[in-house]
Amino acid sequence: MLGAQSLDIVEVKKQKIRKFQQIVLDSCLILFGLAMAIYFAFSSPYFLSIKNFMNIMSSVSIVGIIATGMTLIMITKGIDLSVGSTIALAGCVTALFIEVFGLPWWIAMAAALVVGLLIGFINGILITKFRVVPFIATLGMMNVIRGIAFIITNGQAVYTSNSQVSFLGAGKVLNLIPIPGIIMMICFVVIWAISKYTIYGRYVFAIGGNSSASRLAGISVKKITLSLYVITGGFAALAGLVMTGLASTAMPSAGDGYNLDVITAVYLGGNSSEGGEGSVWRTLLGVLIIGLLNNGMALLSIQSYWQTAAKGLLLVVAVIFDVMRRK
Amino acid sequence: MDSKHVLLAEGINKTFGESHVLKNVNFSLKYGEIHGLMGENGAGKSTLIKILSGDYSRDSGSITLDGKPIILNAPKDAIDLGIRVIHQEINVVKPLTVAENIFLGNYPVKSNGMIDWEKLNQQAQEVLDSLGESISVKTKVGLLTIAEQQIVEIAKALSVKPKVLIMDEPTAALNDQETSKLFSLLRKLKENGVSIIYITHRFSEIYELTDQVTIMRDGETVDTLNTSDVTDEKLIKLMVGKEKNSIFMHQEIEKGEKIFSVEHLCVEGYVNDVSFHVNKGEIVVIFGLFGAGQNEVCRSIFGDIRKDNGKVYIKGEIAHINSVKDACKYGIGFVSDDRKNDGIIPLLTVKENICLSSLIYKLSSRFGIIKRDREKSLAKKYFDELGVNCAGIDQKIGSLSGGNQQKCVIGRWLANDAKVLLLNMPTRGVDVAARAEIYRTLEKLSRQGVAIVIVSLEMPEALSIADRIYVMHEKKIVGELHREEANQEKLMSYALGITS
Repeated sequence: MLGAQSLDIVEVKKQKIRKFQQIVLDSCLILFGLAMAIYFAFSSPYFLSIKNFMNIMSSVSIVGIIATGMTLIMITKGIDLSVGSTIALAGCVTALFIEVFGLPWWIAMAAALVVGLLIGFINGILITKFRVVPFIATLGMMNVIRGIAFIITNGQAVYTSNSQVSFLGAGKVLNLIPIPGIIMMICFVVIWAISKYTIYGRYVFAIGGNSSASRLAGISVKKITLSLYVITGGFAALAGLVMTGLASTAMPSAGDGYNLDVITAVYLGGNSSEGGEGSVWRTLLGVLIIGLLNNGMALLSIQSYWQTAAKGLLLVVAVIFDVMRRK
Repeated sequence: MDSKHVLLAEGINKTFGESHVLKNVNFSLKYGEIHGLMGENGAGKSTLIKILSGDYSRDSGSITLDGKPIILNAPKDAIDLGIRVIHQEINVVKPLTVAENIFLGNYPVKSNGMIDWEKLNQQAQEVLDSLGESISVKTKVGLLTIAEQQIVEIAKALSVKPKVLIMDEPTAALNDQETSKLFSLLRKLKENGVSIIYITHRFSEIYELTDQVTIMRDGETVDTLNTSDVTDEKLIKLMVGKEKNSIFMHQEIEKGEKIFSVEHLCVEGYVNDVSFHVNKGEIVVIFGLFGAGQNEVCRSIFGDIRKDNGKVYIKGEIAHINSVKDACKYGIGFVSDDRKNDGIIPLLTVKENICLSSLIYKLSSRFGIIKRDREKSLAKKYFDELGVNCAGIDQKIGSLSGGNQQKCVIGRWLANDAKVLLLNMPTRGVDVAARAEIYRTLEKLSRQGVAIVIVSLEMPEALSIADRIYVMHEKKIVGELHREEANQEKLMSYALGITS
């Protein structure tokens, strides 16, 4: 009895040390973001303006919306590489429905969302029923969807002047707060609430922590896993609508590389690379750091090639920190 | 020393943490003999083998081969010295050919650095010919039967001309014909001067094959006998030893009506027509050697693996179970022997682990939102009742000791008002104090009317906690013993399939 007790006390101490390490690392991350912001603020007088901040909100929204769903997927040790292509297909479907078929905007938008959910469903079926590993299943789907986007548009961009779609992408509340930013924040709050307060959220963490034990505790592991891909597909389609509205054009090549930005954002905020734990607020931190970096570098007229390299570097550094913390 | 023995192990000790697994073990193998090694589960056979094959290091003691003391730091050392082990699980590389497997890691090479396929196939053919086997050396091993794969393993072991061959229950997966073929092969090897250590649970194999037999019990070698001198009774007596002091004595109470029963349960390849029942207030143990089908009995009742036939009744009413979720709905709980992989979710807290299975039944409000106050009080209730020893219900369960983790896993089912609890080796990796607490909890539950079914591999455990013991042998229940009539000899002889 005594032996077991003292063992547990040692464990509690270890847990405390780990918690402390986590706080130090998190502080480093936030300090890094602040340092970057201060540097940009000194370098460009425009950087600290409210208008610029709203710009950042708007520009990160597409990555941010998808990153909410991706966070849950990655908590279950999964991944979805098809989200970038889903952005394009959803946008193209909306634009085609409105401009070519002359359907009302709400049918077009609903169709786009259905397309996104359906893509997620197919991903989920491939992963849970056919047991294809998520990386390969969604990699394949990524190309399939991209191909379909090119096929239905014949490779051409589709211009749309629909005001509802534009509102979604470029609208502002009080002539200041961008609609995409609001949509993103709603997504974050909803996913946070689900993950913290609902049974569904608890199941997601349980599956990520130990899927075999979860199954034996009576959780429908496959159904929950499938539903996560459906949700994320839906978010990707929503992001596609926002992007189409922002540019007033749907392009079959849109969203290329966004899958990797989304995954980078999730890791960058300090979410675990091994699943079972994590939080959407960490993801939001990651999204904002990427946004700051892109925005600041653009204001300083640094070539976008550097942004790409910097993001890649940040991802690797973030994961190294995560692995170190785990030791 | 003496020139009769090829392998001599003297005074071998081995401890894992606090448990003394091998105590002063002496073992000697003569030139050109087949030497049987027997003992119940956990007697120390595998540990001894792992030490002889360089897998584990010994704490003390000496091993001599051909009269020379040897040092074994890694399996490779043993192989280089001519000690080869063929494990129970077959270790072949299925996509490679027979020849490639036999000489794995040891291919003949041409002067230009390429593999000399011709020579490889020819040498493999020679090895197989010497065994009198007609398997084609160019066949992919994955296409062979289990028996043939085993021959490939033997050929692999023989490719380096071993002095000592150790075989761990090689016939477990073979049919009679394949077994007798294997035996004639082993006899041939013996004639060629290979000394063989042969581990088995089957008495008939001891009589048929071996020259001597050594019996292990509780980490000690009890005796070595000439096979011609032994009988069933003698072997069982040696394996079982004296009745051990019980770690826990279950208090009997008056038995009530039948509250749980299983009829004609079948799982293709694992469980053959198993029926049993539990009366109110009693603890039922299913005893048997490892792999006799106990695990599959539990898992098929629990809906985790598909049953091909069989009915489950709870309190006289039939329960239709096709999935784990169904089983949970009926109030059946299952505690796996593999707590780490099948039980706990290490990153979740004690509270979250305890409440995991009852969330949807007891703690859900509208929109699937968790009733957090209720969750806390439910977790606290079973945390206290089971005496989980840790900082609190918000501690992560991964940091608890094995015994405390196990209490939480049991608590998970109690929180869901389990009517039936199936426990597969629930005290595996649990310290003695926590063991007694778990037994006490299970006893209390059985009095409250929960049907308790425990799978156990340990005879003292089975005898001390059970009101009734069912013994399984090769997929079947072969015996039923009440606590008054049960003793270690009877259990062992049923489990070995001698009495039926």
